[in-house]
Amino acid sequence: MPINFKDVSFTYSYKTPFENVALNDINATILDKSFTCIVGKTGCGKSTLIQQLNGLLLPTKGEVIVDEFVVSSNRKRRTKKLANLRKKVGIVFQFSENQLFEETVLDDVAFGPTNFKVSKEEARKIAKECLLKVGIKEEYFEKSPFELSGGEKRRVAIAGILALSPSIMVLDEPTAGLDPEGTKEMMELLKKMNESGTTVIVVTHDMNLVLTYATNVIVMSDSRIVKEATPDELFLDNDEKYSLETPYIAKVVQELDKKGIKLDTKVIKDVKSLASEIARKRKNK
Amino acid sequence: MNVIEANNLKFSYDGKNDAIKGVSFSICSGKYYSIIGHNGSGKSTLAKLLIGLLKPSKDSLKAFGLEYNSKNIKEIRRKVGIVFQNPDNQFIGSTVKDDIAFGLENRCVPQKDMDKIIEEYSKKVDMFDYLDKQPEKLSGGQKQRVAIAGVLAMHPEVIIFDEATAMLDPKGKREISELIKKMRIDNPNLTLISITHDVEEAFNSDEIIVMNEGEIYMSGSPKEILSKSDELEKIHLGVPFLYSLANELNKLGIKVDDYSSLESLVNSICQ
Ligand SMILES: Nc1ncnc2c1ncn2[C@@H]1O[C@H](COP(=O)(O)OP(=O)(O)OP(=O)(O)O)[C@@H](O)[C@H]1O
Ligand SMILES: Nc1ncnc2c1ncn2[C@@H]1O[C@H](COP(=O)(O)OP(=O)(O)OP(=O)(O)O)[C@@H](O)[C@H]1O
Ligand SMILES: [Mg+2]
Ligand SMILES: [Mg+2]
Repeated sequence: MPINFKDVSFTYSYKTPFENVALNDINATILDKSFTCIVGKTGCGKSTLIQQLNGLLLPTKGEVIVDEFVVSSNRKRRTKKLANLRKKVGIVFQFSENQLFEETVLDDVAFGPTNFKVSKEEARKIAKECLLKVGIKEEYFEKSPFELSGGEKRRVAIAGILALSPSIMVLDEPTAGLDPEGTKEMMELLKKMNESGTTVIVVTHDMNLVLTYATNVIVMSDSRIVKEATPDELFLDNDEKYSLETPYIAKVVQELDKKGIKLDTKVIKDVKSLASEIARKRKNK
Repeated sequence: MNVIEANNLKFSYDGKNDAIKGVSFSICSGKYYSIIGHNGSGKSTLAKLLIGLLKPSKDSLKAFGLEYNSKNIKEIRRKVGIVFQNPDNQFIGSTVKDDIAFGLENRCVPQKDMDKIIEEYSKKVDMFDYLDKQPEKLSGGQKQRVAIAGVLAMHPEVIIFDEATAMLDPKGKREISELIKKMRIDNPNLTLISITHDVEEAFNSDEIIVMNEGEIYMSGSPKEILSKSDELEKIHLGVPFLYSLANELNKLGIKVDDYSSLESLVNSICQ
């Protein structure tokens, strides 16, 4: 089942003098099993949008539909037990490092599964697997999460959500603070999860990642959605840029195009495939 | 002139393992440094040592010729400012305005100049319209802008950015780097130490310090570091896009020598 935003508006501090409109009449669909990236400039509403997905913030107007769940501020419409929605939708927040709270790294990640009626032992087993997946080594398991570096904290926070095995995984700037190898590994991990059926939703400012990994892109501007497209449509086929940064790969494609070398953009996803496509073109010439 | 000198600088959080394992380096006035390194390599620890938030081993660190002791620490912090990795750790005031003002008060800036400075710096980072907002009610990128304004307003001689622009959009990142560039032209003694995972950004600095497991693995100009690019991968790091494309092309038998800009790379492909 896809996720549907129907006429969603959200205003912070609604009906107070400090009212601040952060979402304005959002209508959008996030496809089931897609790898959707949400992009747009600072303050345009990305983090606010994703927090509607598990009812952490309730739309001031309109509703969000996720499978059988209805997220709405209208009590009559709203699904009674939104807690069950949180099992389905896992969100890693933008400053996820602020969310760690248990005494040890392992306990922190195991906390989620134990909460969802998994035995303590089983939860620790899951936690270990998830920590290793995000590159946290065994020697860190008994450390306090407060005694980690920034990137290590972020990895632990992501492991905490992985451990819940949500069917929809939402991550707000998951690679901010990760080292280059960590970024690549994290994105590959998400790609693998996506291929095995998890819907992945990522907020990011890194258009290079968007081009390589996303199947769908939602572009936001000034509290609204201004474009829904595939990354190829957005960066390779189109001239309208919605004031987004052009990914490096797209820049090369465009420059070569100007010189009369037309690459087959369908096969280009990363540096390697770009290089081999250039090589193929040169051979054919 | 060297503004900071470290000599066999060590630090341990737990008294057993060293997070910083005896590093030596000097920071020269007016230069722009980048520090890169894998997660947990000791970058933030080093930064916290440089502002005296963590205690360096004895006789191992000096800033502006001053030892890091309780007598000098105030003076050192006046000269060395930091934007922390997590902006939530930076905020003290209940509004953006109070927050910037707090640092200025600490520096005994007269009340009458305060409003002008706050206006000036909040405008520089495009947050003037948010002065009355609570910092915790800002978006991620807005928080980082405010944290940057707060530090710049205090006119430190050495600015340390600990991933200070990691949450900014690409345009915002460029704006901040332009802003710093301008400030460095106005004040040629302004030193910038930028801790970053953004390879492209790092390779724009004068000198790159590469950290690995608590040690300085290597340091040098971007050119020097690139000439040892194989090593970077070994320690979980990456190289700039144009370089990696040139590299891949060379592997496929397409010779690309000039990857200094997109144009030159494209030109050599077309040859
Ligand atoms: N808790 C809050 N209370 C009031 N206003 C808020 C709150 N959080 C965010 N805002 C405001 O709502 C708008 C949208 O913020 P949001 O955090 O969704 O932006 P974003 O697109 O995630 O930006 P960034 O890329 O900087 O993280 C911004 O103008 C912001 O100042
Ligand atoms: N408060 C602390 N107590 C104990 N150990 C710590 C503490 N803070 C960091 N460490 C450890 O010290 C080492 C260096 O951490 P530091 O924060 O300096 O890394 P970093 O290079 O800044 O990494 P990142 O890129 O993830 O921010 C890491 O192994 C980390 O786990
Ligand atoms: Mg955000
Ligand atoms: Mg750090």
